[in-house]
Amino acid sequence: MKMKFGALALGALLAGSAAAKEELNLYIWTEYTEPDLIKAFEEKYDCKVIETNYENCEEMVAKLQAGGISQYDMVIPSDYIVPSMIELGLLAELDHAKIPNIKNLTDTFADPSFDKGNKFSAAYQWGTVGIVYNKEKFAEPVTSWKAVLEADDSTRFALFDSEREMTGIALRYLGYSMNTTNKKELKKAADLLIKAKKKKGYAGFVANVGGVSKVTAKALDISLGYSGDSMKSEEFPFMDYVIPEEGTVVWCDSMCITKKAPNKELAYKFMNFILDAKNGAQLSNYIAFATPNKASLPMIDKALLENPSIYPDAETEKKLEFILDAGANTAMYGELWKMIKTR
Amino acid sequence: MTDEDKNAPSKPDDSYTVFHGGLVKKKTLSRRAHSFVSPGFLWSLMFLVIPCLALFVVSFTTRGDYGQIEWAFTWDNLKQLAGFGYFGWSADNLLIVWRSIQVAVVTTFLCVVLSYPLAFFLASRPDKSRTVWLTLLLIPFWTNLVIRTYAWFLALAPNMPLALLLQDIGAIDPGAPLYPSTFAVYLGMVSMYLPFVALPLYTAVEKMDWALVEAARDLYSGGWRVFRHAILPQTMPGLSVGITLTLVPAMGMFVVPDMLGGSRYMLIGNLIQQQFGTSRNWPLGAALSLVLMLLTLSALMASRRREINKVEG
Repeated sequence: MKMKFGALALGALLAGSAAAKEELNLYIWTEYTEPDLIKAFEEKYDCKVIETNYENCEEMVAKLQAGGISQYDMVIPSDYIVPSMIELGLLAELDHAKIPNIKNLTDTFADPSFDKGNKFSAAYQWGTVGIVYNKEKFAEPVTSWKAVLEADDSTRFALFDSEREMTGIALRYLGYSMNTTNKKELKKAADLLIKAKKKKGYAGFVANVGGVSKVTAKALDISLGYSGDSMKSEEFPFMDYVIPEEGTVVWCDSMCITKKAPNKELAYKFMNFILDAKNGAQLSNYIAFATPNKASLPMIDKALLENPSIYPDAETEKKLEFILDAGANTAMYGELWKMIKTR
Repeated sequence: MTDEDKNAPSKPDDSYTVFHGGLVKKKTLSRRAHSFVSPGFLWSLMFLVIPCLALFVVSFTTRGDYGQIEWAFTWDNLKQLAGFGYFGWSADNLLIVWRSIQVAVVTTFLCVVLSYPLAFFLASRPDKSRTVWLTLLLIPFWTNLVIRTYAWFLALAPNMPLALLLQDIGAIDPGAPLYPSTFAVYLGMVSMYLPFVALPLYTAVEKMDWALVEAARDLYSGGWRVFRHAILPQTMPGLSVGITLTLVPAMGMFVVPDMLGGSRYMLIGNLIQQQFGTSRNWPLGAALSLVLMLLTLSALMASRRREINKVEG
């Protein structure tokens, strides 16, 4: 009986390996794909997409360094970490001949500051960090970071638990660059945030979608969040997302192929597939972040396209700034953040 | 009888010894001893000694510009630990360590205070129902920490009975939740660590000699003196195990204070996570981990020494 079962299992194993499909190991943020689109890709190239998720870029880099580099074919890192990953030799240089659709990228993303000339990356989705707030609690629409950073005593607010983004926003509010390494400017930004922490309505730090969910639960009046989450305002009409007039952090997640990818060819196919006009539109319509694909734009849902917090107008776009890798100064930003969180 | 024993010559010489009533070759015995000890030894070597040594070495290396470890040895990480940084000297590190100790000590204290009545309650149940009570105490143990914390989110929400009651008596603002707050942090921490104190204490209470308590009562001791002289010494072994099991992990805990306290402050656990996370500064992270280990080790040593003194004295 045992033998029979063993033989059966062996048979199944052999059959399985004979019909083994090609596999694409995709290492990506959670809830960041469109299931139907993945299915379409699998059918088109007769392959299987295996998705693995990470919660933050640092975790992803650590895993790639610990051997993941020959395990995953494609990763979707955020802008600021791309230079480090290139420098650490984790990414493969792209052969543009294999991704003809890369011409679809808008000018901003055809030559991004973190990877000039798209040598290692092609944009996947982009968005901003902005204010999420309960409209019922404010007489006037919120237009400035002041509403959070110098909140009234009656406002219950939370700060953003994201080192570079929160300090970047404080720096921008004070009129400095988000990527400054001037210690005086950094100290002033820290002082501003520490002062905010002493306010009566201060309710701690929130990460990722924490701010949005606490505002929709009415536990907070105002907080920070990412642009894609602003679409929740359809479900919760009292909530709004706004890019303040001082400008904000813009971020972009890019498709990259790992240096020792087991299936580079399939990764190229996937990259080209996503950069296709129709597929790109389908993806962005589903996850409600902005597409970097200019050929996709005409096919984006009108409601999304006309939402200035997802697709900012030219005026606002000028005030957006990428967070750059701080290189040797990363430790200084870390210390600043420790100061903000401790005092 | 093993083979070695059968083959033993009739006249045993120095290379033989008596073990469990039989003659055994000393060599065999030591080989056997080694094979018994070595799995545990290898285990600690692989998963404790080597990682600790690695941490120690890494804590003297430099962070490369891209977050890699550079093998240039330096005292910089220690200097940073002492508070010397980019923005001059600051007491931030001390404050972080102080707050971590505070959270750990308060949690342990609350757990001990709650555990005594609980242990006596458990020990005084009849055998049949005691199992049920013990199971009730253990059930939260089987649930993941994060899930339990989310359960507290629900229980402490503004429209739940507990918050409504406090809103009614005016202890908190109408419509306000009970978290994030210090109260919520300790609620979460105590619920997390209570079984760690209550169970060892319960075993100690169960074995207690009540004659001593009665004797103390006969001699007109008040409640406190009975506890101090008749109960405390008898339950000390359980208590010290409980305190160790709570104090040590509570010192490095940051999930509960973050989630229920709204991550207002940094604790040493957060600081270590920051170094291995966003800062990608493994050398400093390693140095910090060593500090945490040193703190817990010295706490352990202190409690051990007290026990040893007690035995000797």
